[in-house]
Amino acid sequence: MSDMMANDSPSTVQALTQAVFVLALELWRTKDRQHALESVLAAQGSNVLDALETWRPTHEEDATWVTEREKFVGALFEALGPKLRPLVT
Amino acid sequence: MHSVIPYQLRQRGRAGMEFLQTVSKLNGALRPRIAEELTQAGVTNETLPEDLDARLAFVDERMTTAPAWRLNQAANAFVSGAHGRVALQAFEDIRSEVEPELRRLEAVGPATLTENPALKAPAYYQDVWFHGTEGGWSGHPQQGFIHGELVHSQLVAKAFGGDIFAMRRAMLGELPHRDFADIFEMGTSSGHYTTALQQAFPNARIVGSDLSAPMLRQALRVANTQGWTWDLRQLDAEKTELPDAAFDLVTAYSFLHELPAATIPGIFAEAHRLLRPDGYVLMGDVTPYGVQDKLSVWRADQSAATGGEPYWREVASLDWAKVARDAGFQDVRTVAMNGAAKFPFVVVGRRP
Repeated sequence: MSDMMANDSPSTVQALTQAVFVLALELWRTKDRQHALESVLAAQGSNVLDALETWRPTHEEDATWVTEREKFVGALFEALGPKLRPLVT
Repeated sequence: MHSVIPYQLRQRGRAGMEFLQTVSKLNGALRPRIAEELTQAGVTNETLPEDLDARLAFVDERMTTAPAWRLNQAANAFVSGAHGRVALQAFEDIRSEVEPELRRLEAVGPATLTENPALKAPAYYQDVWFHGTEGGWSGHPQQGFIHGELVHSQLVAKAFGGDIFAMRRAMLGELPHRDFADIFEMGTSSGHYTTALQQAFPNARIVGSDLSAPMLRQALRVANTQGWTWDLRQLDAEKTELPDAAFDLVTAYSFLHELPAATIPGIFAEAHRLLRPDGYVLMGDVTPYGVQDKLSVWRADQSAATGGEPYWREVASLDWAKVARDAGFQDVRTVAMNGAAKFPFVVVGRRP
């Protein structure tokens, strides 16, 4: 994989645009699944929307979730700049 | 500094702010690699040109293929461009819940806010999205809560890591005495430095000012929550229309760099007019380029150019001591605080 951040050639811009569409596709699938999940739970009588808005992780869950988020963003950084690996250890 | 009201962001708002925090954190982790890339590209204090524009171009040209630098710039552009919008969306999600309490806090006293809807903002202020604020400091009726609370506590303070208010308090240690009874603050914004003034001088009368009524409303809430009697005024610091010799301290923190350099002499002149004999001016702001090495100046200049700081370069190029002396101040002293950071850079002077 070429290093996108160090190369502005048309082919790289094309590749980056493709990556955005792939990401948007996955995001839409996740949004659709979340919508389906909420609808199913609501149909079963669960007041899931209010619970989602006010949910907060426990201290332990939060530490894990912060790590997960850093891995997620780190993977993005490393995908955009492969020569920078490892960014998150 | 705690929030004026308890609030809980909705899931999307919380997740959005947390995502930006993480991007900022990982972007910061690139700094050592950028330092290596600069060295490898031959960017040093010795090779950088004198001219600031030429300096920016020199580095840009040599860092075109530096991966950490390019990624850092892209991530900076994303956070800088998105944070105001993400915070605004997070606020709009909870607006109906928090706004009644925000309005109640504005009305309970003991602080007061005199808004001036007829005030014509200077041209340098209009349509400028300082710090990436959506629409500028007056761009939303609740911009004070959005930026003074959401952006500052959820992003700025967390990215800073330590006690971000300590510098404001430490700056006050540069004053020659503690007997100030009447204090005028320029650029109060949402009241962060005003809080430091209140804590350092609990018995003083504090008059805070700003062009932005939305930001001052947040300062009003901060004061009312704590029972502080701040007198807040929406006005132009260049021409306050306040009486002569009404104060014994005129001060500002991180305010001057949001004004064009051409206005700064007028600001000091107005401070001089407002002070009684033996009153003091105390200004803390960006580190002048004249006291930094070329590489540090390039970092500051480059960051300002891409971070919603249109007047940073021209203000950082001023000789602060000369500006204060030219306005009539005596015993003028400058201090570069916090060791190598040299921030804030403080100028203090006495009105004879």
